[in-house]
Amino acid sequence: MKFNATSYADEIKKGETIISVRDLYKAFGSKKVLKGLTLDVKKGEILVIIGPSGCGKSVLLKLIMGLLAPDSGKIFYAGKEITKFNEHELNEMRKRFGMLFQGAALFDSLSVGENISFGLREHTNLSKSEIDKIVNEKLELIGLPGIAALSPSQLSGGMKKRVGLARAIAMDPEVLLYDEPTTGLDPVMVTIIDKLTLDMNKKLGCTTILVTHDMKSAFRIADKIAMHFNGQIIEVGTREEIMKSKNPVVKQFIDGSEEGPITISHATVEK
Amino acid sequence: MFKFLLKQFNYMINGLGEMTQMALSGLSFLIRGKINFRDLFYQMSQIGVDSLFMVSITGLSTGMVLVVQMGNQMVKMGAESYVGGIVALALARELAPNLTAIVVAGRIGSAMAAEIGTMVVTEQIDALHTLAVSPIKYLVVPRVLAAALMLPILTIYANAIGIFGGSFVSVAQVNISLVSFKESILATLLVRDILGGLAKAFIFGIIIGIVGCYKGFKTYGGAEGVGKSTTSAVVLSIMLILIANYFLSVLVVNVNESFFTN
Repeated sequence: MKFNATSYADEIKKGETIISVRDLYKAFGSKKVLKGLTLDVKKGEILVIIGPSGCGKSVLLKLIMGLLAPDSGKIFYAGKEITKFNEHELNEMRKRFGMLFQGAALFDSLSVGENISFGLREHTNLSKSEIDKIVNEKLELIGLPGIAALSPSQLSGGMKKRVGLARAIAMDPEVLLYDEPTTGLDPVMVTIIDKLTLDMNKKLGCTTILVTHDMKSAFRIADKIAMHFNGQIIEVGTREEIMKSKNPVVKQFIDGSEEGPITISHATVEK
Repeated sequence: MFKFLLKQFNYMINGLGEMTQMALSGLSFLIRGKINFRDLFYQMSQIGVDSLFMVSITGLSTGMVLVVQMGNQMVKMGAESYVGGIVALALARELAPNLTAIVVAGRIGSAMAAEIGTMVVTEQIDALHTLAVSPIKYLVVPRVLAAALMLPILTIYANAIGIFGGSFVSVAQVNISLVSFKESILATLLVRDILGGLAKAFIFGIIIGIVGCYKGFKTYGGAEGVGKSTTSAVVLSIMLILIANYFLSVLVVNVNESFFTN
């Protein structure tokens, strides 16, 4: 289903670059978060961005979504420079994106079903029964059938994340962004969410960018892993390449050791 | 010191500019007819239900106190036939719209700032953006419109209950008959006095809605931030209501004089 949003990425083939980030700078007050970050994402792949807490990984996702504006640098989506988009063009692009927030960010005044169908109700002319059908489909997909009438406050943390995911995929996006999807969940739920991430990628064929500091998850799901450190991407590679990396930062991060180039000063509060 | 004042002034002008911008962009959604009526009616009923009790007490107390303070003096001067008129006029022109607005600012403006502020800190506003929905259209328009429409209604109610309170004290404590109280109102109060008050209430409603939403959007820093936004929404909207009241009163008086003097 394509709904009535403009698609930019149809002509791009699987494996070609769909999102490219060029020399991105972003500071909050005196705190420089991104310092010339450059990154390419290929269509259809799962790219996992790892890095210490507070290094600006979430900021990068928000910049790609157009929720924040960079101080300098460019972001391209399917060849279009989105950092030059106006609000209307950004909204057209966002209809092709789905994003799962760290705290799920469900609208707590709406039911689970209304949360999932939010985009459909705002942007399509589908009838109520068609919308209900899609909601039920998506709930099936995340393994939580029959909870459409519940309110978000009745859900556990893991269920909220899964409903957030259902909301993100309701419009069949081309690109899915995950902001620390497994943080704060128990190990079983982490595995379930990881499996869902792989499933979504396979079933919907959407390009996935996932931000995490959970190495286990990263190795389980990633086609490619990018190490974010000190405002830049310092290494990109497949799972094997990253595992065998000689880079001391990557090595320290994978091992989780205290000794190395990553110090406590890198773990400041994320905005 | 001078630098500090300059900075504060700058900050204030900036804030007013951003609020105007928000109001204009809300207006453009309104003109294009993009209103969610379900949400509008929900907000209106919330405002009504939440403030009815407080507006009742405010109106009743104001009407009663007016007569307590001036009733006996007026009787001594033989001017008891003016009491009803003065009470009604004071309520309709100034007291009902102003006090209603201040009470609603405390009750509703703060609730708006808290709700939107919580949505900001839990990333729900970001989520709205990612779903390609404008928070102005989805949150600001129904709230501001609801406040603007409900304030005049609550003001009419405050007028009525204030006059009821005044008449009660007149009869029970000051020995002015109900008939004389009523005659006095009918002889003094004009429809345009009431309408002028309602027009002001409408503007106050817009101020409460805009300030409440704006302060909500400006929230940062978790639960503490929400608390700060809530307080500053109430303080700022009451200040703006009082400032606006002076200019609106001048406007209303001028309009009345230039159109109705003969």
